[in-house]
Amino acid sequence: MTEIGQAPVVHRTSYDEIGPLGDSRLQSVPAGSNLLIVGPTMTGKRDLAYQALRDGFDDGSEVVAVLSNDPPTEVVEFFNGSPGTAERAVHVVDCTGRETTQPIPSWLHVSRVSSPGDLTGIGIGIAKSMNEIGQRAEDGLYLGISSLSTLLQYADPRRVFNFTHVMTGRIAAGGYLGTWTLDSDAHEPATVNTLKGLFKYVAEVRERENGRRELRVLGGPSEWRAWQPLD
Amino acid sequence: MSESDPPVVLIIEDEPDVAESYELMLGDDYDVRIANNGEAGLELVADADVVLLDRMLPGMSGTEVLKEIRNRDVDVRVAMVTAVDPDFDVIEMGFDDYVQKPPTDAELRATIDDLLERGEYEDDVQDYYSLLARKGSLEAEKTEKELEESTAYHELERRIQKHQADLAEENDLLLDDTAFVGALRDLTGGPGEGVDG
Repeated sequence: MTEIGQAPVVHRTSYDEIGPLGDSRLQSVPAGSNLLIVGPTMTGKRDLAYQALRDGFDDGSEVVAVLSNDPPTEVVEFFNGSPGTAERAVHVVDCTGRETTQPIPSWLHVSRVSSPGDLTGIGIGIAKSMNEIGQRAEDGLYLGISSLSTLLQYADPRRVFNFTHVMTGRIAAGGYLGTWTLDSDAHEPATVNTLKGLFKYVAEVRERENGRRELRVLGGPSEWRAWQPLD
Repeated sequence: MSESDPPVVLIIEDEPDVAESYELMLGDDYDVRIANNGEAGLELVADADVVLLDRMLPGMSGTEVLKEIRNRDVDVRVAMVTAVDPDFDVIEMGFDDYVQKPPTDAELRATIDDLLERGEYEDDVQDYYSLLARKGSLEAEKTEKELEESTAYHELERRIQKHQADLAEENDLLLDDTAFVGALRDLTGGPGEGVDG
């Protein structure tokens, strides 16, 4: 189990330093579907999810990121340097319940929810962001929820399941794209399996003994199922 | 609510003429109960499927009545009846929907039927959870070979697929903000308070 309220320290490289990373399969998930990135803690799932959002944003889509663990400034790092920020906002629903002291750029629109356990509040934050985006959502909308594991620390599995069901349903109906993350080793296996059942696409990340990461995607074409190195 | 009984609609409205006009519109198809203040309404709420709650009430206000209904954790959906267009505020206040005064017969019915449908949707989601949770437990306990040979597991998968297809048909209703937030409120039990920005 991860410790409650303690943000894991992950070695990260920012987008600008390394350019597009990740896996082309994650960029090929069709609109109107939901992708769950699942794997052990600290294997870079969050970066893969943010990467998908940034790629979508650079291609002209709108982005709403729900943050349960990271401060909004983490998202800023990922979107800094995107030409899209000159013309449109990146939307963030911050449910960490923590104050941000660092400055927020004008292209980052932040709604705040008091706690990761207020799942209805998160929904209201998302609805507000989407109202602000309005018609432009028709050009594409990426919704990132990072991470389900934090929500599970604040709400019981049934409530988190219900939240995920309603949210993935709205994403499917609107033709948007949902990118979610979940730590596979932080919860009961049955809880992880149950949540996985809500997703059409499941990207599994694993770390080999030599420290190299690998990824495969279930739910897509059969060739996606093969483990491939990430780094 | 059983299959044969008409749904119970509780109207909490202090003006007798207004309450009576709603009853005339709805009485043939719904089991209409009337309370002329918040306290009386709370006594009847346990049996109701849908509540039409006037915002301006003497004594306890509509918002206070709503708060008490939510505190009691009653499985009921509540629409606010209001003279002004409350826009998005109504959702944040914890209502499931709203009707503007004076409502037409069609508006009132559409709102009630929509709220009843949402109640069914939420029950379906709970059933779906139970099925997926059972599948999730089996997968955690058994080997792939054991699952492959288990008829109970295959039967479960079949039922899950059917539920999934049925629920997917309801997804469109979630594009409506009031329905979306209302479903989250009922299904996650959260207050949905304190969203800034």
